[in-house]
Amino acid sequence: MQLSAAVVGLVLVATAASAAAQPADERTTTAGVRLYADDDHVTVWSPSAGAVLPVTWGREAVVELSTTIDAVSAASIDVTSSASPYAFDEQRVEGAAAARVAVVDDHWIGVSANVSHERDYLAIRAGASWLGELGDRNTTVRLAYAAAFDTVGRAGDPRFDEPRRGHRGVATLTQIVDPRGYVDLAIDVDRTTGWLSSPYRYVPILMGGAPAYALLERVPEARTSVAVLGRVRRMIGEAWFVHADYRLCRDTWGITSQTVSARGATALRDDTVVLGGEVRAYVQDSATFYQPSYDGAAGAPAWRTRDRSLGAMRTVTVGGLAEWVTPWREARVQASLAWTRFSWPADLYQRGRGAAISSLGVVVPL
Amino acid sequence: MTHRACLALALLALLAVAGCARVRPYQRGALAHRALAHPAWPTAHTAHQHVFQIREGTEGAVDAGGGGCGCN
Repeated sequence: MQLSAAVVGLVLVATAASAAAQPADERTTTAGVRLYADDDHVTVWSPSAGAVLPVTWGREAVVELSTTIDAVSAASIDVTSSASPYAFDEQRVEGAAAARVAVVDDHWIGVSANVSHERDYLAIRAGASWLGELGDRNTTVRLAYAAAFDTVGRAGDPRFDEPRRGHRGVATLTQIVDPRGYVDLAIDVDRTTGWLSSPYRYVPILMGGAPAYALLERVPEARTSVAVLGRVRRMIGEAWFVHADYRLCRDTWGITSQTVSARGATALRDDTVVLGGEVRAYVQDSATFYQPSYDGAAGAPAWRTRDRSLGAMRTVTVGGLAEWVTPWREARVQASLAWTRFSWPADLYQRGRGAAISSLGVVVPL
Repeated sequence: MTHRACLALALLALLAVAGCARVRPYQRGALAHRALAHPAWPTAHTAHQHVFQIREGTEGAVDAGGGGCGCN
């Protein structure tokens, strides 16, 4: 259910990134497939396709279109203990469109829209942005806003229909430091209101230390988060490239998280092959109201969740990346494989999970 | 803590802008290399962020990557 909200948000951010990276993009089509498979019997296949189309509407402009399907197959303990004793298969379909136009030299305005649908969640996003390249294009500044209009449902219960609304503002700055590197800075403020609980997850209530009954999860109906990012991208020597970043997030539910990641890559064979590796570490503390179980002696707690993503957790990821520029149209074939370990020290049912995340994509200039 | 982080970010932004030499378009060959773009591996980046946004408790501020390579 959270898939739509998370992924649509991600697409908006990705659109923002592509807009910032190359205002006057070349005409390309892209196709790819992603695979997530973990040791808790969850598999997600995600084929996707897209196009970047420079056009002229009296001014320089770019249109981007994309679509993605997620095919989920799950028999996770999360599913079998929360929703039903059975495994399930589910699909999510998403479409996205964005356009940006140069209003004056080096200043672009853009709009974007995304729709994602699955059987118990509808996510709709609309956004607008301004991008300016300043100081002889040494500095790139982008301001973006997106609004979310989501509907939370519950499979098998057509009467369950709850709204979720969101407002998100992002400001980014990219500065050329010298002929070999950039510094990126970003701040992202997000406010979400409405039904933020899971309509499936039940929380055990204890009496005298023994499970007595279970109640549906309830979390506060508003959440505001602030995230800041700093990144360095740099060429080292003649053929090495490094990216390193640090991100800090804080929200009104009391969660603070920190992320550190680094990537190194080298170009080989006259720049037609790039090989790289990456590492990422993430740590967060828990929401103030999170508990794996609750004592019901003083009555049921108003806010209650055992969502492990709201508890203390750590994530470690290592992976490899490869790119090959083919002789045909100079199409770029990209592949990646990463292994991730999620750890939840306080969870009652599962303290950790390992997952493989892989992707294969091709970008074809037209 | 958030306020201090924002203040630190603002100071970093000022330093980034103020402390940099102006780089001319003809000096930007390295900056235009695709391995220095963000994201350099878009499909992998999307795959990873897809998973982290669902599995982890916080999100946001994952992308900031401007051009300025002079290659447009």
